[in-house]
Amino acid sequence: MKSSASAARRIALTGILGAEAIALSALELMIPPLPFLPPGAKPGFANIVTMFAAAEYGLAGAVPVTVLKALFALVTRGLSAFLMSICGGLLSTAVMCLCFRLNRGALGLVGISVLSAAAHNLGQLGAACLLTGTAALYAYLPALMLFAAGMGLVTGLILSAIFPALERQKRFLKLP
Amino acid sequence: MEKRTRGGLRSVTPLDIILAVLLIAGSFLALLLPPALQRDAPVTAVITCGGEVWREINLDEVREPYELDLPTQPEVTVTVEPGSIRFSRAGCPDQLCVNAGVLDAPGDTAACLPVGAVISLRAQGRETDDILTY
Repeated sequence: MKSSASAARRIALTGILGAEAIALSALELMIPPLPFLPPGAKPGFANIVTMFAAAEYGLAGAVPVTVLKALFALVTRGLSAFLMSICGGLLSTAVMCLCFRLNRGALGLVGISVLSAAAHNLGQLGAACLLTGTAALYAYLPALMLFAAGMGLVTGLILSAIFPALERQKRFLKLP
Repeated sequence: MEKRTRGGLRSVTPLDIILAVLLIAGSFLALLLPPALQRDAPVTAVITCGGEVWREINLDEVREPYELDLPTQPEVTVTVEPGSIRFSRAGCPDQLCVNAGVLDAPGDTAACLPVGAVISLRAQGRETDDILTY
C-alpha cells in the first residue's frame, strides 16, 4: 500500500516537472531568432528542470521529462521538431546522468549544465544531418558550441539558485 | 543558512570554468579563422534535397537574380542573386530557413528540416564542404 502511494507521488512529481519543462520550452519559443545565432537555437531553460530530475532520480526521473518535452514538440511543431528534441534531449539526459553518477566533486552544477547543453546541441545537429541527408550542417558546430557554453553557464547558475525551490515540490508531495 | 545543493554539489568548480573557457575559445577560433582565410574566394552554392545534391550554382557567375522552386512538399523557394543565395519562401510552420537570411560567404549554411533541403556555400577549388579541416 505504502509503496504504491509513493509511486503515485513520484508519477505526480514527474508530471509536474514535465509540465514545467514544457512551459519553459513554450516560453522560449516566443523569443525571436537573433541574427548571429543559428536559426532555431534556444536558451534551453527546460534543461534546468531536466537537470533537477536527473539530480534527484537519475535516468528514471530525467527521461520521462525529456520525452514529455519532445512529445510537446511533436504535437505543436511536427515530426522534424520531435526528432530534434528527442535526439538532443536523450543525449543531453544521458550525459547529465553520467555526470551526476560519476562526479566526485570535480564538476559543479554549471559544468554539468554546460556539458549537457553541448550534448543537446550535438544530438540535435546529428538529427538535422539525418533529416537532410547531408553533413554540410556541421558548419553550425562552432556557433552551437559557443552558445551551449554560454547558455549552459546561465542555466546552471539558475538551477543552483532555485534548487531549494524545486526541492520544495518534493516536500509538498511528501516525497523524501 | 547554508544553501544546500544536491549531494553537496557545488554551483561552480574550477573545472567548470576551464571547460566553459575551452569551449568558448575553441568555438571562437573555429568561427573566426576559416572565413578570414577565405573571405574573397569565389563561392559555389550547393542545394541538397532529400539527401542528394540537387543543384550547384556558381554565385560569382550569376548576373541577374532568379528564383528556383525546390521539388519538395511543402513548397520551398530559393532566390539566387549575384554573389548570394537565400531561402525566400517556405511552406513550413517554423520559417527558420527563411529567417536564416542571406548566405554569401564560404561555410554559410541554411536548412529547411521538414522538407530536408539544405543550402551550403563552399569556396571554389575545394572538394568538400569541410571548412573545419586543420
